[in-house]
Amino acid sequence: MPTAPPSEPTDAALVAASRAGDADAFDRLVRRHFRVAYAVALGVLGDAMQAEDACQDAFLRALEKLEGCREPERFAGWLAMIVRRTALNALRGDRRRRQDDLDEGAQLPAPAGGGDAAVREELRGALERALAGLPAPQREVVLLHDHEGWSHAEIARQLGCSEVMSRQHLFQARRRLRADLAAHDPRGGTR
Amino acid sequence: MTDDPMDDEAPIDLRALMPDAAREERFAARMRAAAAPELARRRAPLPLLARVDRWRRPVGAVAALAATLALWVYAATPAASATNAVSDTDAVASAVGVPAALSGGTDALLLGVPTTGATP
Repeated sequence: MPTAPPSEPTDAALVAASRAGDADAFDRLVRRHFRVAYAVALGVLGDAMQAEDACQDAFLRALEKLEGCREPERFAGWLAMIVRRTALNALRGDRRRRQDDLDEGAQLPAPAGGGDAAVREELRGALERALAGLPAPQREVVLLHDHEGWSHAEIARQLGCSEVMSRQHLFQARRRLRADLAAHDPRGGTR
Repeated sequence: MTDDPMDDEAPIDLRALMPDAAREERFAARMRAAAAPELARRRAPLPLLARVDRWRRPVGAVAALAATLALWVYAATPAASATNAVSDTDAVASAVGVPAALSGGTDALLLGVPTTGATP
């Protein structure tokens, strides 16, 4: 989970200032935790635009309920729970439309080659499609572990499962992603 | 942890999925605009009604506690009065020099002795 560098104000200080209405403090909280929030939301929803919307809703909800954050030094975990709940609500409420969007996305032609941006965009599309094909728990685990660097203990706490289950999800997610990415590009998308 | 065969595989590089700096900046700007009303509300001093509303729950809880306490004291007090009444009856009886049963009160009622006009 992201922590404040020594020279930066701690999460607890930023939460206290945000409670008092300090816009700069809240802005810092948003910037510091956006990536984790995005990874959690993307793990649940599997769609970039919806994940960003869910993040915005979740940050706003967190701001409104800031008094409910009893351990401000553990703001990241508290926020991740709100993001996950918000994303799950969005998923339930909008499942049908989401499916249509994903289908449309799958039919989009691959971006034309040429330049790093195009390669990156192509890789991004392949990753998004591969990720969307994973079951939600596997998606969440692989994003939190491989991208955000969370431990299995942290993931297990966040998802409400055992550490063993978290490991299994990661193992299976990596396998499927590798297979999907290798099918898309023989070089694969691994480090 | 490293002994676990499931941990042997290298992590997948998912950086391409994450928003770039420009997108992060756009998101932060969107959040600033969306959070502005709530932050302004937090900066503003609370109006009187809101301040009253803020204390509504604690005041209600204290009032409920006080009411429970008062009820308990009230329930306990009549029992003490009854005891006192009997003792008073006994005291009157001994002072007047008559049996307690004739001096009225609870004992007299229990024994069926009339409390008015009863003379030894």
